[in-house]
Amino acid sequence: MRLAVQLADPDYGWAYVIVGWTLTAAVLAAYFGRLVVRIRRAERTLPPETEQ
Amino acid sequence: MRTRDRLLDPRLSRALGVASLVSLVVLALFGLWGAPEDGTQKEAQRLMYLHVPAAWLAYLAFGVTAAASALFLWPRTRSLVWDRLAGASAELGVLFTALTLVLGSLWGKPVWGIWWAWDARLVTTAVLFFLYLGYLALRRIPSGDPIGSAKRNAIAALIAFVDVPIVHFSVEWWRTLHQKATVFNPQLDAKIDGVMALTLWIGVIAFTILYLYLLDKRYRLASLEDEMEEREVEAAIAERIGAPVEVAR
Repeated sequence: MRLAVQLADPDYGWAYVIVGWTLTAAVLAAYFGRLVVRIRRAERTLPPETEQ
Repeated sequence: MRTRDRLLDPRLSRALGVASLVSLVVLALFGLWGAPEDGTQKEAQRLMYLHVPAAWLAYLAFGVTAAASALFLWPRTRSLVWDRLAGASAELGVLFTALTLVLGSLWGKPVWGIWWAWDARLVTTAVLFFLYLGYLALRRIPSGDPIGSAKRNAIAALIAFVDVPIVHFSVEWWRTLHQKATVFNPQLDAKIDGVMALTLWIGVIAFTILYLYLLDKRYRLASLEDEMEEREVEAAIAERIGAPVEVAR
């Protein structure tokens, strides 16, 4: 109940906190995901590591 | 035998991945729930648990870039490995500087009443972001001379690093709206305690582990991309050498 009141009250700044934390999580997840996709794509393009 | 360059042992990299995920979950629990509300700033202060670790990581990442660049420029330690490491770390530094600026702006609005101020700390941080964005752009300029372009990159990275201490000491050198350093102040007297201090330290540790994990991944990608480029050049040379033979037939 107390949290609901605080969330509705702009003076507490919960909206900024939620946006900030969500944005950080989304940016880091997107960056990591993009790295993994690019690494996998490059590994598929190149021959196996042990090749002469 | 061709072996691809790795920064960390794959098992250590996996362990770092798990550790960063666990520590980020712990940070979210403490940062959003465990730490108490600030008396003055209320809940908006919870942005500090991301803003400060992100700023710390920007310093660390650009520090690694500067150290790797210096090692490349030093003739005894010259290796393209250092250039690759510098580039990988700078990209992470730019990412975390951008997060620092955005999180700071989100924190500034409820606390200062404005999204942005022409304040020494904010301006020098924005300059830092653009300096390293320029460094990353410089790295993308094609060159037929890898050593020459790595030298150019290393000099640019060392020049850009001059801004890091300016950012850090800006709050001491000029009168700023931004508060002075809470933890890494000149007296090394942390002005934060209890669960808030613990949460901040969890944030710093979690982000540092995440940085090491992402750095390993970014380095691996750079290594693979370099190999692809090498193979493309080798194939182009082979095609060139092969062409006159075919014409002679």
